[in-house]
Amino acid sequence: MRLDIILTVFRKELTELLRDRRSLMVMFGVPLVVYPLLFMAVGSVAKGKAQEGQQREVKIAVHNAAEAPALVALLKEKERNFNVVTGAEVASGLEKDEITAVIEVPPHAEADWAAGRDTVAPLTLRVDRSRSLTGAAEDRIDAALDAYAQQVIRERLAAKGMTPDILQPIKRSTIDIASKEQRSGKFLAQTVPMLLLITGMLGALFPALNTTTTEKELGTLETLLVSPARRSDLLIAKGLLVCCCSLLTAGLNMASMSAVFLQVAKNTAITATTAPAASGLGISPWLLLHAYAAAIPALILFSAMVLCVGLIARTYREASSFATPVMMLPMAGMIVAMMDPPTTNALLMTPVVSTTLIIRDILTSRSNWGDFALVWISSLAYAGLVISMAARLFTNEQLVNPAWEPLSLKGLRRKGTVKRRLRMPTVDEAVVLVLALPLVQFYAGPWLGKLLTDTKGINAPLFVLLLQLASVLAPLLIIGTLGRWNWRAVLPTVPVNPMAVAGALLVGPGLAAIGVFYSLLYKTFVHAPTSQANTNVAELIESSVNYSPVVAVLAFGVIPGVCEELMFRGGVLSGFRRSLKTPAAVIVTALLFAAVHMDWAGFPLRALLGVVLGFLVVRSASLIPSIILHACFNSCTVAIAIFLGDKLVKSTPTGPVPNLFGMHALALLAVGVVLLVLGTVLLLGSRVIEANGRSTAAAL
Amino acid sequence: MPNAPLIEVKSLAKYYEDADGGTIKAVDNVSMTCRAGEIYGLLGPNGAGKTTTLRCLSTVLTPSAGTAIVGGYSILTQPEKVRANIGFVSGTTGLYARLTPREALKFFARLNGVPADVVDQRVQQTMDLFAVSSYADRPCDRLSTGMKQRVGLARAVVHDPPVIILDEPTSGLDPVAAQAVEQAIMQLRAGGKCVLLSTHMMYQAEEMCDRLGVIGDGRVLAEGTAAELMAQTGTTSLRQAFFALVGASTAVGGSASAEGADRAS
Repeated sequence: MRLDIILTVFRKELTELLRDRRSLMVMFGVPLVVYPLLFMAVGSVAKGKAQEGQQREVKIAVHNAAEAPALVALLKEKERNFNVVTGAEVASGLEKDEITAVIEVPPHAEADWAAGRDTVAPLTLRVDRSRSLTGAAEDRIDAALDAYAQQVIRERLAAKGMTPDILQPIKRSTIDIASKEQRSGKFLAQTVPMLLLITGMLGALFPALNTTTTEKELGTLETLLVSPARRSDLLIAKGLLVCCCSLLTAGLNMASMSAVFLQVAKNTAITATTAPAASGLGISPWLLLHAYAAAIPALILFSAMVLCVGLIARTYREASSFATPVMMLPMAGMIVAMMDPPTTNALLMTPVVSTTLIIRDILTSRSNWGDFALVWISSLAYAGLVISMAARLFTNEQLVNPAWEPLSLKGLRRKGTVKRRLRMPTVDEAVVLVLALPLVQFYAGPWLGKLLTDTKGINAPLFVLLLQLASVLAPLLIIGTLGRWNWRAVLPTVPVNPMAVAGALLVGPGLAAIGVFYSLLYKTFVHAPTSQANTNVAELIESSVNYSPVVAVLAFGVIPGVCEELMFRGGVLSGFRRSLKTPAAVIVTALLFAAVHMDWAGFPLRALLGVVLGFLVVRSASLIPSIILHACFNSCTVAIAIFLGDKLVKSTPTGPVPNLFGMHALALLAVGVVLLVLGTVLLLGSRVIEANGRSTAAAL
Repeated sequence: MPNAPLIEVKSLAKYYEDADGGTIKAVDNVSMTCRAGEIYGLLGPNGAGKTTTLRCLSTVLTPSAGTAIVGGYSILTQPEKVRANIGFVSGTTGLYARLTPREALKFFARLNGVPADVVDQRVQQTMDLFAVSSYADRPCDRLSTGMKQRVGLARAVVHDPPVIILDEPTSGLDPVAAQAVEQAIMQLRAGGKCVLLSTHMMYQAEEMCDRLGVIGDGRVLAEGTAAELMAQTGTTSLRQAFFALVGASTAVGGSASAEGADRAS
């Protein structure tokens, strides 16, 4: 990577962009000029109408006024602001728009109403709803008629010697505890995500096509490619520009619209024309900034996507048609905003949708940093995958030879791999595997759980088996088969080193014992609620213990042990070893392994376990010892929970608390340390197996 | 031959996979050398493999077999060094519509690592050499085709590379504009550059090139000066010699491969 090259190309792209009126219009014109004008126009017209409807004198005619003098008197009350006429012009006034409404009073009306006879004809209100002021006038007339009806009821009750209170069986009132900000947030939550995503996408589109498709069409791309600049540097410069444009456009649009919204909110609060605005609307700039920050990874994803479109397309026309389906993506956000679903982990990992939801939660002050991190990390991972796709397209030979073949998936193949050989996983395949695991568990987990509630006893182990198959083994098999992986190298099972196996058999239980002690320690000193993931697992284990403790230990120990090792130490580690040094690849894999368990309390422990497992695989060139270690660790953890669980807590008046210094806990720690030390000695003493099968006695 | 060879092509080949899984040999075992102060002409019909060869030499394409040394560097192992030592112009290379020639030249000078303090001077020299100074500050999309191609040549040599690769640089130009470009190329040779030029125009091959390689179906059919080619084929003009060579190859190579080569050009 050469910064000077990237800067030079970035500056060139920027100069071109600043001379392109169309892109500038989209980026700056719409937010800075069109929105404020549009909103101010709409706002002032609406405000004017509302005020007119509220305050203007409305001319109404009462037909047969002599039959209802009390009603006419009520209508003529000064604060109601009606101009009541009772003359002969009544018939034609409504059609000529001289009169807004006509009230037709039936014969003997007031006498019949007072006496409670309902045989009379109804009171009729004639209006013309096609007129703009009718709505507001009708509301005011309805209010007056309701007041009159109340008056009639009171008179009837008084005639029978009763108080009006008899009509009110309960007294009630509703208090909205939502803050002013939350109420404004609810309104903004429906518009802001869509606004950010759509304008961000639009802001990226023209710069992206200008720096790719237009360069292809003009033949300038070739001149760039024969310069000494590396293709990766060129792509970084172009991507940076597109991303900046996207972020800037979305930011400007949001700032402009929020300013206009706050202005409108201020105005409506004074006149109080709409119900929710009665106590005013307002939102802090901090919340808006937070919402914008939440959208950044999605905007990076969009930038990468439109860049891919530009790279695939051979002409501007082709690019426009390819861009259409991509432009639909922000609409997915809009649909979700309309459905307003509750926030779930599955939705928080679904691209685009996650951004819409987190922005909604932020604006209504319901988000937490865990959700925010989940959205950021998963969206960034998706963006990374699309960026890697753009990089493949940009380094592909097809880029400058558009005439050879039309668009095809061949363009995604790496440069120079015409021969279809078996290969090792790539980093992006490893990332896809890691993303697929929580995504499938979030989506398939609840569904599988519902499906299996009917089957008795065996359901929990079966649930674990099916979920591991669907979320771990199925993605591994699908991606590996499509990618033509060399399975023997990705999932090595030979040679089996007896000393490594013996070491794994000791280290697994040792780590499990120390892990249980660690969780007691954590519970004693950090009073954090148990994570959702852990609660779920605990419930599952409990339900299967009733069936058979042995089956529970095996199911929760062995099945995840085998599946997760095949995936993490097989597919994922091989992928990262391809582009990172081995220790770095082991550590990254271990961190990802710990992260997908979605249990922050257990993160350090699982990360440590992941590092041990990774080095074991590297050292023994086989997955067998690591599978054994992992399965032993899981099984022992479950077994300790089942058989020693009640001995590790002491009961207090407020409920059971961890008994950290109890005999059982300390014994567990001691046994764990002994097993760990013995096992480590065995592991370090075992011979190191090189990737080519030769063994050496050297330590790791 | 006094000068060291700056382009040495050794058994270069480029194959493509076609839609049915077959192999198209766009370039098949091409070898040649070109020295400083020399214009080497690649003469061949459309689809003969000229463009593919030149793109391999400019490292935009990776050859399927064989290699080449350009400006002292291998196109396989040091592609970035190769690109720093060549200037490349083809009939399809273009200019940034919204930049002026001066801006475009400055951009490519920086991209090619010309030191910042001499960029302006270098750009002015190059523009003077190619007589583009009079419209140096007009946006490129308001230049005529001939002006554009001269700016394109200036753009390619702004970093003073020893090797210049030109792929049909006068295609689409009228005779007057073409002549201006041709004169510029002769100036480059006079300046000691090694020029590799592909063309299908007999007069260019005859008047400008010191040596010629006739290419057909991805192979070098004959090599030498225009006179040598005529002697070799027993003809009296380069045109006749060309038809004698290419006609023979078309008769040998089947229609299928000719079609494939067509698509590859």
